[in-house]
Amino acid sequence: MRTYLTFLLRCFRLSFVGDYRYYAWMFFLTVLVLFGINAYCKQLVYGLATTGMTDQVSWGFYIANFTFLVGMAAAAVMLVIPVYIYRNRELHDLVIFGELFAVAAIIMAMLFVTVDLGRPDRFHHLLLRFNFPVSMLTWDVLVLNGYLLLNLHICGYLVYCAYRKREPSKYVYIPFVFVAIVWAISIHTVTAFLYSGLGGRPFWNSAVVAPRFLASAFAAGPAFLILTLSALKHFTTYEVPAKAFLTLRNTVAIALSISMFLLGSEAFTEFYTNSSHVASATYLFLGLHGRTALVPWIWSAIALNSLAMVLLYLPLSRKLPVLQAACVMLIVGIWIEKGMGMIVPAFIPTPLGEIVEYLPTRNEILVTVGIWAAGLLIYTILVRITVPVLSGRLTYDQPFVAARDPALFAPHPSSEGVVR
Amino acid sequence: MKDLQIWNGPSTSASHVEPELTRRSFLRTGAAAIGGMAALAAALAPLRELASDEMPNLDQFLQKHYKEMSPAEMEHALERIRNKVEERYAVRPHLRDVKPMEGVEFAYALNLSRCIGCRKCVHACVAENNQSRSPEIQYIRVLEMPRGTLDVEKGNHHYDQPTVPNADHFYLPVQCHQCASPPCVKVCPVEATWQESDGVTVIDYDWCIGCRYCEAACPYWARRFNFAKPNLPKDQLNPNMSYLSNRPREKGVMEKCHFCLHRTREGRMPACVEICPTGARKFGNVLDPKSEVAEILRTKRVFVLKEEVGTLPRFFYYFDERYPNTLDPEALAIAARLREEEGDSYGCLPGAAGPRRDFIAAAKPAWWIGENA
Amino acid sequence: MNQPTTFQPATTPTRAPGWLGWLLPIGFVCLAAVLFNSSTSSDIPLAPSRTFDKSTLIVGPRRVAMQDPPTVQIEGRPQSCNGCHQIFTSSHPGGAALNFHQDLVLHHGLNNRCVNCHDTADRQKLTLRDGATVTFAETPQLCAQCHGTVYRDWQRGTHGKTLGSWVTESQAQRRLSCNECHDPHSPKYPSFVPLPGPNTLRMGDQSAPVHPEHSGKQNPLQRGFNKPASDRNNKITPDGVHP
Repeated sequence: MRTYLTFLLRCFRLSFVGDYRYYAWMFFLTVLVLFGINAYCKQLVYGLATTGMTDQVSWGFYIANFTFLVGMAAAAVMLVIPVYIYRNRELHDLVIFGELFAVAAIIMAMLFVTVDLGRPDRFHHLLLRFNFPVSMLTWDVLVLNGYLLLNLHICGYLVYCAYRKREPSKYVYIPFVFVAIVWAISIHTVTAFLYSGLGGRPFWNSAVVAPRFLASAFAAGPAFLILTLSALKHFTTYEVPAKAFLTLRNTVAIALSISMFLLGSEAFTEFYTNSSHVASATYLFLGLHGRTALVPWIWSAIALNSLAMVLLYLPLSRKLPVLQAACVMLIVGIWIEKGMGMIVPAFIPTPLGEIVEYLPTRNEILVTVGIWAAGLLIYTILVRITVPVLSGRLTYDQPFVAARDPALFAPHPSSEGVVR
Repeated sequence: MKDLQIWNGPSTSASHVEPELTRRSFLRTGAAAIGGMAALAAALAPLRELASDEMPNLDQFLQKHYKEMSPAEMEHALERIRNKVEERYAVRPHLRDVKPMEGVEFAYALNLSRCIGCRKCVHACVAENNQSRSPEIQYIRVLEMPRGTLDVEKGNHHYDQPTVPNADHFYLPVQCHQCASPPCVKVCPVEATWQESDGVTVIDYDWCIGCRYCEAACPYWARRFNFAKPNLPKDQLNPNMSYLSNRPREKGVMEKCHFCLHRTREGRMPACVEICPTGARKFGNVLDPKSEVAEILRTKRVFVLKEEVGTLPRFFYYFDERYPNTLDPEALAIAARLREEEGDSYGCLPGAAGPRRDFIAAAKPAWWIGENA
Repeated sequence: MNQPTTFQPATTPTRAPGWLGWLLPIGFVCLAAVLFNSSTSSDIPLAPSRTFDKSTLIVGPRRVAMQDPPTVQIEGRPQSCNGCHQIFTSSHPGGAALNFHQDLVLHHGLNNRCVNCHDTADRQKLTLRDGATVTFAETPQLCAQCHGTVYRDWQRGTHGKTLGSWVTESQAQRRLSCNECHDPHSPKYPSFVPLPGPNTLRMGDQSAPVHPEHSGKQNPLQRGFNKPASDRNNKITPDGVHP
């Protein structure tokens, strides 16, 4: 127990150790987080009217980001499948980075839901009267918290075993890994069911919502992992094998293709039928009664996604800079298409046919940026801890000073990384 | 604290040399920590603007769900609310918890041939139910619909002509339909909204967490959210209140039409029914066969909005025999031509100056009053 | 297939100058100052409800029905009908211009003769088609002669207004009679000035009228004269369509 507490204390201290670039990055993120806290305090005082949301468009930027991030969290499992099911040992260490990313993404998603609540001081009401299993939001609460605990357990156990220079016991974590694979699919399916079960919102009331969510998540998540692994590769001396990038690249390409196919399928069903249910889709793609605020957004998203998809199928994207560019494009494209392009059009027109457009306010954007910065902060700290532990520089039997060694970021010459 | 300092480049000596803790580095670290605390305090500074009655309150925190409160706990909660209302509005309200009547299930009927779109119902509701005036919350929304369609997308919410009714349009007021299969009740994660035995779907304002899932789920756009602190001028407070209906709400909770249950559960009519000048709105106990609404459901061709969504509303619309007179010039011209040609008052349009017809004293029909059993 | 990129050792960062570390506390203090001085006002466009004359919300009958026995105000004093009509004969039983009662507007469709409703022998009574009379308190029976279906609905409560209570047996329930809403001489229900429309938070510019999308297909409903006002480019007369 004492060793565990020391481990935690060392992790805490380690988050404050780094070079000037590390400090600059963390300071930048902290500034953004503080602006976000400030904006959120204003929201607590003046109510959700500080956002751009209205009775007509009652879910907006916060829920859009929540949806996107739940998808990203689910996608960490895309690394788990090749490693544990196909026993690809080379990518083994990278699973942890994927799952740490899932932890950060789930925390961000839960923060987004919290800031969207009108009465966050009544959170405990969820524990006292829980409308399970009828309300899909209760399912969401359960699966998100469960996923967070699963990933914390798996990563925490593996990292702690590396710290203790022990071989991790299969029975303590392998079953949870397989549960996590299924659970990851479920978190995003449940989030999709939140929307697709509402008969009053024809734009959402479609079976294709859940598959679309999963496909776009499995494109954006690994794309984000490619970017973080590139950052690791660039800023630390940790070796990231090219096979990791190529495996992820294949995953992203296929998932993105499926996602675009499903988008096309949705568009066909709406526009060919041309019933009155097409109003929301018309608003999104073409504009409705002269209101066109979202039209440039969705077409940019489609352009970015198409370009990224083409790039990913070309051998050109085997080069890391091109791959990174494609990833950035498709993350932005999917963020638009799934966030603003999925949530907001369902509210326009309202069930009574009124059109009130939505634009996030400055306060709303500050809170959003603050939460993203908090998530990146958490992820940076988690990586900052994990890399030295996995490379053998921070273990229980060495004094803490060793963690500061610059060569620390390189794998220990005597091992390929302790984790098996 | 020893090694909490900025990375100073690769160490040239063996890795286990302890770095020196200089006074400068200690001061630097301390200053950074204090600066960070100051920045955090400044970030939290807007919270000082919170009004005293909005601060977290242990009583409200521990208050139970409406269905779980004992009468004593309910009285305690009512007292707390009375004190709060008196403090804010300088009026001691008549606040109580009104229970549903036995053997009563409410239904509402609206005669679309009679609604003229005057919006008195909208504003009578606001006067009765203590909604926020700024930002504006109104439970009833009146749509001006063109003739021949029930597609609400073709409706106009913001009609503003000098007089109503407008020719070639009819008026469709929409409010909460208190559905028997309510999607809003299905989706609420904390069971803050439910349907009572008399059919009214109610909200426990002290239990709602403000997630707005119910607002997304409602097919009739009937639910409203307090995006800001409700602004209600003191002189417009209605002191006749009940716990589940029109007591003043706080920011961050949902609200909606509740059929004025503080009135209807005591036999009175909802404000919208009472104010309607044409008598287009009908309300009553559908289980009583002699009530107006039961009569309407039996004899009129009622329908509901968005029936295909499966919500089973208890709000019924119907058109009566006579359509509103038209002022359409083309229609009048056609009718005038037919009258001249056929010598008949075609369509009984206004201004019809057709040939006089003497009334024939017919045999008294069976419905003649005084002769009916 | 390309070879995987080979591992390049990262260059160790160059030694940072010591004073760089002071940027952190300075940065925090500046941030604290900015946050503290940032506006605490809300910038919420509150969009208040539009005002209107509250007297329009008074509950009650739209008009005061003629009492029984009926009286008329002549030169500021109530007079009974028979006071004049038993002395003077009416000018014309038909619908000619009246010398008195000039505030009356007779606009009752085909029912354009005073004596259709008013008893010629006794002006304090109303006459039915078979010659029987009813008092002014029993006006609905008079209306029922022609408006039978409406009268049937009114008896059941599905036409007209009920005040007081929805409970059928309640003493408080009161049904308004015909002439408490309809002026018997000009019964068409008048137009109203609508109360203000909604002005909700951030609703944007709603002044543009909603036009149905023109799909290129003519809605059969809108052939003939049943067209929305904006579509009246062609003038339809009884003879046909003129461009």
